[in-house]
Amino acid sequence: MPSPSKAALFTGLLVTAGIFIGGAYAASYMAEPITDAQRDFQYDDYMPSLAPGGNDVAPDTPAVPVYETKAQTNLAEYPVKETTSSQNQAVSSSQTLRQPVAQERAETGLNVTITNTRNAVGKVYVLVFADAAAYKSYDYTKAVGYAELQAGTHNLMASFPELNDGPYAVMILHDEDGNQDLTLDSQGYPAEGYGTSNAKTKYDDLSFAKAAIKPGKTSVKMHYLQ
Amino acid sequence: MDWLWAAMKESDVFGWETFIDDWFFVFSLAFLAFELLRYLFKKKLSWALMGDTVVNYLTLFMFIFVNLALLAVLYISAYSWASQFAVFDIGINWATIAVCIILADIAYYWEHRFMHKVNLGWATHSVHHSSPYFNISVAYRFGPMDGLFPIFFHMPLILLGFNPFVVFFSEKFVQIFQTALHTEAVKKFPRPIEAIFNTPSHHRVHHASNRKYLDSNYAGIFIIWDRLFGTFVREDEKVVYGLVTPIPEIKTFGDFLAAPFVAFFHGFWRLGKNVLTAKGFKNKWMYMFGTPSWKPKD
Repeated sequence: MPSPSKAALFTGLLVTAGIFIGGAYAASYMAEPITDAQRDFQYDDYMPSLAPGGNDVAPDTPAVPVYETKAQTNLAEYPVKETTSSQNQAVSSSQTLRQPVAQERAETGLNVTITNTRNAVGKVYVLVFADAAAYKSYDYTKAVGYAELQAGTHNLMASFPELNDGPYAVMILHDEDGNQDLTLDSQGYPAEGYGTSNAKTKYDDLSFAKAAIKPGKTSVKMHYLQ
Repeated sequence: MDWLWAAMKESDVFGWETFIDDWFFVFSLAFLAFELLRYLFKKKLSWALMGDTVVNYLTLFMFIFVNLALLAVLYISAYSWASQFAVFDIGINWATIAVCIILADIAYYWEHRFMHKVNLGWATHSVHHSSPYFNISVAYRFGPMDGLFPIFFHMPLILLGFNPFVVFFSEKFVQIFQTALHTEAVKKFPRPIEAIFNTPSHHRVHHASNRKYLDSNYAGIFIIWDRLFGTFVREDEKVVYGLVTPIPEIKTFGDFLAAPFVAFFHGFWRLGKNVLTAKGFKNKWMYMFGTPSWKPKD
C-alpha cells in the first residue's frame, strides 16, 4: 500500500500546477480567441423546459413584444419605389405575433433579430449579401436577401428561410426620413441608424470576412452616431 | 489536419458531448449484455449479480436527479462566473480540446484521490466502490454528491482560460474513457499500452479491497499520473472487489428493494453517524476531513 509523504504530495501538486499553466499557455497559441459568434449555446435548445409540455409550449407574451415580418427574398419586387401610408398599413397588418418556439425552431435559413432601433419612425431595411464585392459596394441589386420592416423600439425580426448556405453578411439601415437611403450629414457621417453583422461598436467598419455569419439565428445591433 | 485547427462553437462542443455520452451509454448496455452472457457461460451468473446490476442503474437515476435538481445550476453559474477571471484567452478547436482533456485528466486524478482520502469525499464515492462485482454497469453506480467535487478540481482550468464547455466536455471524456475500463473480460493489454494508459487491469486494482491494492490507481485516462505521483500498483494477485467494510449483500427480495437506498446513502449515513457520535471537536473534524482509515485514539 503506497503512502506518499506530505513532501511528495506537495511536490505532486506543484508539478500539477506547472503542467496546468504550461498547457494552458501552449493552448492559448493553438486557437484564435473566442468570438461572440462562437458563444452560441442556446440553453432552451438543450435543456428541458420546466413549463408543462416542455419546449413545445409557446412562451408567455414577452415583456417586449416581438414581431416578425415575412421577409421577401424575391428581388423582382425590389427595390420598393415609394412608401405610401397604405403600404405602411399593409406591412403592419402582415405583422404577426411570433410563432410558438417549437415551430420557429423547425425553420431553416437565416433568422435576423434587429436590436436597439431607437424609434418607430420610418422603416428598417435588412440586406443580406453573399459576396464580398456586393457587400463592399453596398450594391443592393446583388443582395441575396432583402426585408423591409416597420421600425419599432422592440426587437425586430426578419427571416430568410431560403438562405441556407452562407457565409452571409447582414447590413441594416433605419430609414427615418423615408428616402430609402442612408442619409448623411453635411460632414458625410451617417445621420440615421445603421449596423452590420458582428459589429460591436458604431465605429466598426467590418470587411465581408469579418462580418460573415453562418445561417441560423443572428442578432444585429442598430447603431446611431447622432 | 485542418479540422484540428478549425474554430468551433460552444454548441458544437456541447453537441459532441451529448452525442458521445448518449451513444456510449447505448454501447455500454450492449457490452453489459455480452458480459452477462460471459458470466452465464462461466456459470458465474447469479441473482445477486443481476440484482446488483439493477441497483447500479437505480443509483444512476438518483444521481441524475440530484444533478439536475441541485448541481447543474451550481455548475453553470460557478463556471460562467469564474470564466471572467481567466488568465489566458484560449479559443475552441480540437487541438485546445485535446490539451484540455490531458489537463482535465490530471485534475481528475487529484479529485479522485481526494474522494478516496478525505471522509467527506469518501462518503459519496464509496457508493461507487460498494459493489462486490466489476462490470460496466458498476461504472454507472454513483453517489449523491459525486457531481459536486469535480467543480472545485476543474475550476483551475476555467481560471486558466479554457472555455466552460470545453472543460465540461473534457471532464465527460475522461469519465467515459474510465467507464469503459469496468470489465473483467479484458485481461491485460500489450505492455506499452499498460505503461501509458489506464486499463481494465489497473482499474480492477483500484476497485479492490485487497490490502496491498488499497489507495492506488486513481487515474482516468493516463496511468502515468499514478506512476508520477507514487500511487501505482500492478495487478498480480486475484482481486476481491468491494469495500473493506462491505455493505449488506443482496440475499432476499427485501434486500433487493432496500439495496438502491442502502447503496446510495450508506456513505453519508456512516459519515453523519460518526460525526454526530464523536466526542469533541477534533474527533468530529477528523471524521469529516480526515482519511477514512482514521479512528479516534480512545
